[in-house]
Amino acid sequence: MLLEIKNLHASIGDKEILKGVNLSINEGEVHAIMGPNGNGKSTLASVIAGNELFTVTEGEVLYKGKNLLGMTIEERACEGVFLGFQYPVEIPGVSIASFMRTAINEQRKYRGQDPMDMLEFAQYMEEKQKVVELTENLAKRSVNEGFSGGEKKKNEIFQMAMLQPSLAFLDETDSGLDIDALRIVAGGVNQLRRKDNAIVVITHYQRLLDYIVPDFVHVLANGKIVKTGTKDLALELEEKGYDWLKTEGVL
Amino acid sequence: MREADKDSPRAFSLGGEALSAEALAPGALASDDGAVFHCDVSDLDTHSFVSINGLPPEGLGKKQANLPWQVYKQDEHTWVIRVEDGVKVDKPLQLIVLCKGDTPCKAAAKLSVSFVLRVEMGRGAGLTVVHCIDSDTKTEASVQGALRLELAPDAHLSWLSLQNINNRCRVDNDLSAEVASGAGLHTCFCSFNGGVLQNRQTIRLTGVQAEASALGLYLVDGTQQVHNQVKIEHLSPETRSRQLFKGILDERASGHFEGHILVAKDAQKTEAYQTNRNLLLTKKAKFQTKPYLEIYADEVKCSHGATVGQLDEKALFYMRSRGIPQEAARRLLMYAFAAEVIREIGIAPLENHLTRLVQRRLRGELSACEDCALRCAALPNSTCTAAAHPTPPCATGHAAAPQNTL
Repeated sequence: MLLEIKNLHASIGDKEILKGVNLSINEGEVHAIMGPNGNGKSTLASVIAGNELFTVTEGEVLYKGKNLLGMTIEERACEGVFLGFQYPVEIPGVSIASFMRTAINEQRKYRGQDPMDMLEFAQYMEEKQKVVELTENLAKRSVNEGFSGGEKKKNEIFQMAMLQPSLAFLDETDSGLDIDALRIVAGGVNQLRRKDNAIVVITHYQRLLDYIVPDFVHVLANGKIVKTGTKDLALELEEKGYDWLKTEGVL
Repeated sequence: MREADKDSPRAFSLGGEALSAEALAPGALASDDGAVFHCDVSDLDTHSFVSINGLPPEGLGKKQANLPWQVYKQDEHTWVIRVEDGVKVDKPLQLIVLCKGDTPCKAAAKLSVSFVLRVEMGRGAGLTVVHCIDSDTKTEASVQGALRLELAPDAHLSWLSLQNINNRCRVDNDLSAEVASGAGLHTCFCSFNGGVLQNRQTIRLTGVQAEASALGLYLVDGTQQVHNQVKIEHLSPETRSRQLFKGILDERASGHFEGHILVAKDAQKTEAYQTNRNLLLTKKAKFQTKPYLEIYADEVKCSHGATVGQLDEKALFYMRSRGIPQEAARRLLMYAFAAEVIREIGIAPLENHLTRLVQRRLRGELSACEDCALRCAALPNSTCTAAAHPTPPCATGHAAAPQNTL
């Protein structure tokens, strides 16, 4: 098993947001997490990535059999955990090239590999830009600075392509995208699906799942996963809304 | 206090290009007392003048006739740079003020260094000056520099000041400039090391369409203090000015910035902008910033912005989530913060040199000694003992002084 989340509780300040999440993810799978706003979807992704704003109060997370919660943010990344940000952060003055080259070489160092030389890096970057059709010369632009909403999300998937994580949480990567950008971003994610990695997409819209077809769909509500099904669950939710789950008695 | 992470030198690169240390092998030139001065801006070809303790370089003579440009001695403490009408000096002038005691590696009696430097720029003349103030490791010096700049119409002068002296020293720079119509003055004060570093500038834009930019970058720690005071007077119409000062303060460092923009009644269509941004890395670092706009004309564009804050936690998380260790992420953010000023300098070899200095400073490797002009160990008749100076020179002295841990 790639990731095993057991009875995960997490708080921000005094407010408990995750109230006992259980989730198992195997390599080769795509999971979708849906659910009403403010019920803990993004928190779950943040806690997995190691965001220190949240405190884990109970539970366990095993990643490749190791205690994920005991690792620093950067260790998690070097071990292959990736978070596609809902709101990618602007870093004025730091070029994408220098950001990515630093990240890749730090990860290589962690794995005991030699750094990538400049030429190899430039070719690698050019190749990976194509995954999300970022044709423009990105190298010298500052990370996310002055990017449109679509460019920011493409840049997240581009980074995922560069870093080749084993486990990627994509937090509302579809929000703020027009139809064309959605198709490109989803197409990029599909290109990155492999037998030895897993992708978790957090979304509000069934539409994304037409492009990225999940193996499992989970509903996260009130800090817990209240229902799990196949891609048909997403269609059902789209049609009936979350209120339907209340009448079902799971909410 | 954070230890420099020496295992990750690749954390810094510019636009994907690593900076080559080989490109910066030291060049050497002889100063008048026989000491060898190593200039590490080796890819920058300059006309260099070395002044020991503020005295005009010995070789300088009196003013001469019929020279397109010259540096001459006016009196005991005054040297003058004069560029005639229409002359663009082919390469930058590097003026090095060294503060050194008789025994460069031992504490000497307190030294008082003062000098007056006049720059007279003729009509349409052009010049870049790199003004370095350096010291040896131990000398306690008080440096007072009076910089008097006069720019005739359409002249252009770039003035870059680099201050890298030991913590026992203080520097008081007092710059005043008159900028005539169509002329442009660009100053940049970079403060990397020093006990108290104080730079005052008064720039008067006296002619139509005169312009000035005043930049500053300060990286200080320990109990270092850095003060910048800028006054730009817009006295004629259509004049433009810009101030950009940025600084990073670690440990118990402190400082202040005062930026004064004066727009006289007649100076319509003036444009004046001012920005001061500061990063405080600890709770004990302090900074005060004071914008001051005094505007008497009614058709002007002016703005000012000032911030005193910390590194962006969201950006740090973002970078760490990609596998960049916290320390490297912090340094990358700090470097990016400083680079905004460096990019404005517009002289590539100097920008590269400054980039390297800033990166080393942020890694805690740059010390007043190591990068100072006086490579004590290189002195042929050095009085230093090997014990006091292992290679690189003065490393011991700096390991003992907890001053470079940004």
